[in-house]
Amino acid sequence: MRKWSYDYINWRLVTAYPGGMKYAIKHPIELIKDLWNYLSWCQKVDQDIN
Amino acid sequence: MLKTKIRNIEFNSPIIAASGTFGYGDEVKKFVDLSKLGCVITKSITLEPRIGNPSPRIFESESGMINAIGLANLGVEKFCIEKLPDLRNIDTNFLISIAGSNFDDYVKVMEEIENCDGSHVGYEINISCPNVKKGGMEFGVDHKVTLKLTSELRKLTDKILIIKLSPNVTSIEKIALAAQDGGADAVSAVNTFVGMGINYRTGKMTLSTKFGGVSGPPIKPLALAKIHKIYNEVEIPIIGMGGISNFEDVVEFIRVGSTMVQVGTLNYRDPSLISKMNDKLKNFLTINKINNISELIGNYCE
Repeated sequence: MRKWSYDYINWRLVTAYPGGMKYAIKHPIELIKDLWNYLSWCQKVDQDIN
Repeated sequence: MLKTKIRNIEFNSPIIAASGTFGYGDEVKKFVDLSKLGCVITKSITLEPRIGNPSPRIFESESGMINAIGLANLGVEKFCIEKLPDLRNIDTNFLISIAGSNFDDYVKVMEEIENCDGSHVGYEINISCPNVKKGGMEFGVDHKVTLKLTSELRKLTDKILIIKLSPNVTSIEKIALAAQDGGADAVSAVNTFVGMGINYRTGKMTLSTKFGGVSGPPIKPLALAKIHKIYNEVEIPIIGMGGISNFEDVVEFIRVGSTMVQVGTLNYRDPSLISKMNDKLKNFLTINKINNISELIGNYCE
């Protein structure tokens, strides 16, 4: 999935944080750090499984 | 070609979306074609609502993941009112995952769901939860507790009953046998392995709970071994899981004894992965002139 819809982002945030989107907005630094980790992880996974 | 049966229920595909990785099932229908999935399993439902563990509760490890989400869910009452009616309209079968912190929790949750008019085909019982009355020891590490819990839940429902086994035990096949003796229709294996992460510079633990569950491709060989051990002991179907990331993995899990499989962690990378795997799996069966995926169950050579 290359295009992230709002629904997808919301679903992922609800899983990652207690409070979902609201928590993410209140903690932008944590969100950016986690997003970076997640994107790096996606790249690593893609390398390993393709 | 991909149709699979557990008891009297037919599934379009042997590939299931694992509990906790597809929400309640209704959220993902907006961006995933659910008709290509064999089944969706809801996140685990508990008696009371839970917001789950504080952040950080997911940590991306080497091609895998460690999570300690803490069973965040609406609680059974809200689930029955807000989610169960909507789930009637999803394009595939769905199972409800149940978790509890003591014996009565499991029974009450199932009783409450049974009293609602749900279109679910069955239940997956998450026995990897800490049993509060036994000092926090997991239900799934004791075969006597597993037997008792399965027998009690069996009395409450005619729907499919699947016991989800923890790999963090000495003899998983003993627990699987207890589930079979208690009347389970299938076992799913394996849940996550206990793990932890730490930052080498700061010494800070990566999860708020210190320990979490390791999943994803790194656990695949461990999962295959556990499933094969179960396959050698029990007669009921096994739903294999643990690091499945492509259709080749699906075939491997079926060859070691699984009837169906679940995909979990890789849904976090790409929720449409299962439907892509389905297409490739069909192609593989056609090329190899295999009429039905069930022909491959336990089909291995030493």
